[in-house]
Amino acid sequence: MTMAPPADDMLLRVKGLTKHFTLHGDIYSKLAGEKTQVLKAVDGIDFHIQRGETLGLVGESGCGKSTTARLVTRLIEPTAGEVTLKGEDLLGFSRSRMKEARKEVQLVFQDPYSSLNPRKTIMHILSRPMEIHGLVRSWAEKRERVLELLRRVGLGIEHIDRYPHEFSGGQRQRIAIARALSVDPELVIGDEPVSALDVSIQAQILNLFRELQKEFGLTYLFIAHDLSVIRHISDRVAVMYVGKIVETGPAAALFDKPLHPYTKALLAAVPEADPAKPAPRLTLQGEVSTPIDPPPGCRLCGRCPRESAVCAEIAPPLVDVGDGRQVACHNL
Amino acid sequence: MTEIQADKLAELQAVRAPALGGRLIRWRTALGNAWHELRKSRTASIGAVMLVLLFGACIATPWITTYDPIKQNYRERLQPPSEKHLLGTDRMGRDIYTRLLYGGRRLVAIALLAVTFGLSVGIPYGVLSGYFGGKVDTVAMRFIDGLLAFPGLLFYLLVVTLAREWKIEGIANDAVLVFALGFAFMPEVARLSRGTVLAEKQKEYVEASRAVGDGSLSIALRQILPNIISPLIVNATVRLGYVILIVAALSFLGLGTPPPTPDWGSDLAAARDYMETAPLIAAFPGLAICYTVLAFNLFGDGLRDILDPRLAER
Amino acid sequence: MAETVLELDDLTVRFHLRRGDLTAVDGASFSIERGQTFGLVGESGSGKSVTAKAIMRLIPAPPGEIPRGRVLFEGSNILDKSDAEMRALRGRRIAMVFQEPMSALNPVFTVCDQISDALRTNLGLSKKEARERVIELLSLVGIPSPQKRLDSYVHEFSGGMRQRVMLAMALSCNPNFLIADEPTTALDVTIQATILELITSMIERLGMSLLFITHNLGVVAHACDRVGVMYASHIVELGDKREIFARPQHPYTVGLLNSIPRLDGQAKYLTPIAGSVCNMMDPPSGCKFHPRCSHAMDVCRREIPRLKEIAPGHLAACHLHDRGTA
Repeated sequence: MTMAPPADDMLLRVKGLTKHFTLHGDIYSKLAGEKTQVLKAVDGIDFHIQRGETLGLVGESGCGKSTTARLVTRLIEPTAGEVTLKGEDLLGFSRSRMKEARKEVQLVFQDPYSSLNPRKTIMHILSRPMEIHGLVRSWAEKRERVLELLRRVGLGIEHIDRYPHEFSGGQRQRIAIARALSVDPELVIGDEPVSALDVSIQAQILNLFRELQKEFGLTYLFIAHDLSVIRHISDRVAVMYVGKIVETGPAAALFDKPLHPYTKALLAAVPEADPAKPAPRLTLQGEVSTPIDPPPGCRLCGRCPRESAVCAEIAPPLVDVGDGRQVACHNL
Repeated sequence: MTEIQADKLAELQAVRAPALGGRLIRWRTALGNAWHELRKSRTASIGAVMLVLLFGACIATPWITTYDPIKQNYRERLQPPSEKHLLGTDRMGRDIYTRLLYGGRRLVAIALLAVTFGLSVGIPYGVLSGYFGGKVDTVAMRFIDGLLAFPGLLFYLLVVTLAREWKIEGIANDAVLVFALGFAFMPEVARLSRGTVLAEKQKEYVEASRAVGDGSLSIALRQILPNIISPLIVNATVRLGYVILIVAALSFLGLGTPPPTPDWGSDLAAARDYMETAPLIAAFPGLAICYTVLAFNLFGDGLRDILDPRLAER
Repeated sequence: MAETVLELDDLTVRFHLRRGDLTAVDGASFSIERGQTFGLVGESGSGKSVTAKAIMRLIPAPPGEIPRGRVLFEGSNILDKSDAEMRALRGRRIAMVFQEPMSALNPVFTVCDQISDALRTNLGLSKKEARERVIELLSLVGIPSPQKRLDSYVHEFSGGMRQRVMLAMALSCNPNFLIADEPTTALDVTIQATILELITSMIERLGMSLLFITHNLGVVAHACDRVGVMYASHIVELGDKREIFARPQHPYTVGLLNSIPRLDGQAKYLTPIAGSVCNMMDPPSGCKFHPRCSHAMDVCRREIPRLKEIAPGHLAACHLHDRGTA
């Protein structure tokens, strides 16, 4: 085990975080004779984020990255595990402490078309968080702060009384970011914040994220499935597959020399916008493994080019391999 | 400067304006938008015009009628329409035009109150049940299912009979009607709101509100409710016409409004005896009922067309 | 001698909406030879999907209208054909694969039913013959144990599998032209790689031509031979894939290539294109890209630039290239 960074530098720390969903466990299904199954959306993951850094969480659909975002903010309650925010046990927070924590950790969602309430004006959407946490005293102060936020994210102040449907996807995402900033958070979790945007707009929003990080000293947990985006924005990266973290490490090192077979497969499959670079190819066989009642052993079992007997029996733990990198594989 | 420029300037001014000024401007533009939207559907426009006439007549009744709707005047009974009596007189010599207007006024008031009552109980019931889900939702909805299973007509008969038994009269009688009609409307509203809340609950802005620290009650009633109100409004509008029909029907059967209070239904019933000699006495209350129900239906239908495609557009 | 399978000549598609008129495609012209893959690239609102639908004559006629242009498929103008002739073409000679397999495939029918439906309607096969052909097709597209999966429903397949099923359906009647509208956008990157491989090998094996529509330049770089870049209803650049990526001539193409984050993570800040796509209901005068273009000149505000040949086979629609010509 490596020496964890000093406690005050570590903003978020997650250990053994787990979320299992029971399927067909209700009385109607039981009466119908359906077997109860367990969907292990997130199955014992560990990671940490230091103050000021950007951790990129990458994986394909169904790997559990979005669920992780919700677990860490307690929008969904974890089945097991520890979440430590600034040294305090987040899962043990009282209701009032949790409410305060909602100021410190904020989310930016994927779909700009549904993450803003279509019936409320921008003024309301941006001032509501401040209202909830009692951060402003008068209407005038609210107004000033909202105008300030709009300016910060690059939107004209004349937009303040408009409704979300009057804006484009990129603009809405800026509003969503402004909403997250309205309570002066320390950690911002982006759940695929640029996936629904056009490439040229995506670039604008990514730049905005960077600028805001520098200006406000923010820490990011950036979730995406697009590897180039993750590479661009992250300091460190964690790769998830079917509920487990298979590899972590500094972005440059991980992308230049991936260690885990799944990371290698992901990188090989990405088509790069350059005909001179190699064509995308798949190094894994078969389909994505299922998170429902998964067999013991490594999740990649059955698809992996480096498989051996032990892989089907024992799930490989995430171990340190030096240089700040961790891998979960028996056969390196 | 053009209207658009004036609006833009007003908007910019509102950016720094104190609360009241900004809100007024928003209301004015909202109303302007509503009028513009209304014009898009011919059905809605026609219905709206009909309703405006109806409501106008109801409000202006004391000023546009000259006769007493209740006082009998046997000397002038069963008169055909003339200069003196616009629509003629009924079997007791009362001016039909006056009776129609006073009757309409009462019916519309009852309908509005009943529907409002149904909405104010049904909406919170359905919304909270849908939002909180789980066992609360299951129990609440089974109760609604039970209410819906009860035949409407029997319920009204029950209520009316009880009212008779307990000798409830006058305004109290009307209140009983309002309660009965509202209560019968409530389960439908609850079901509808719950259904839409279930779908709306999954949307990201609801999650975002939770992430920001908003409380459940606040989210359910302040954030979600404005988004699901459209189908409810359409439903309520059509229901208004239907309620009037029910009251008229009950009165027609002799169960709703006791005479001599003007009521289209009881007037229609009373006119049955005179179908051969003075058919117009039946025609006018009948036409009034048709007109009113049609007006509400057209407006409700048109409203649905206006509200739905906009939702689909996004 | 390369034979032209599809040729678009000044295709224009307009929609008459309540709020006003919208020209979704304006004067699109390009051609695709036999065995060639043409990538039509653009962001949302560029008109690429509408172009594909126009070729298949799937544009609903009341709000939509094709005021001018020709679509020559194997020499004859598709726009002139009758409904019956179009039905004969669709599925048999031109097939289309869509983005969302869940909504393009009918959830209440089994896979076998859907594919054999197309086979029996278009080729007149018997039920038994159709069933056998479906098994053949499913194994062609790489679905394991096709005999067993034949009678499954669409929702029982994963995303990648569904896309294969859709591909099988498209290929069932041996068309010689395939239109793929964002076929891999909804898929994970590893599945995307397999589907792309599948499509390209199918095209080669069956000697088909492909019109590939996407917003993903990475996919285009590896799956296509020629590329057309669309912006706000116009084709702004056209040419060989290597040419376009190596020497992009239109500021939009350049901007697009610069906004893509790179896998080797060189840049700290990306250079995005400023602003956003214009309102198509009320587009700017002249070149639609000029409000966002750092090279905008006076003429750009007045005149819409036409596609001009810059180098052999490489065309661009930009006034920057006017100066060379007389």
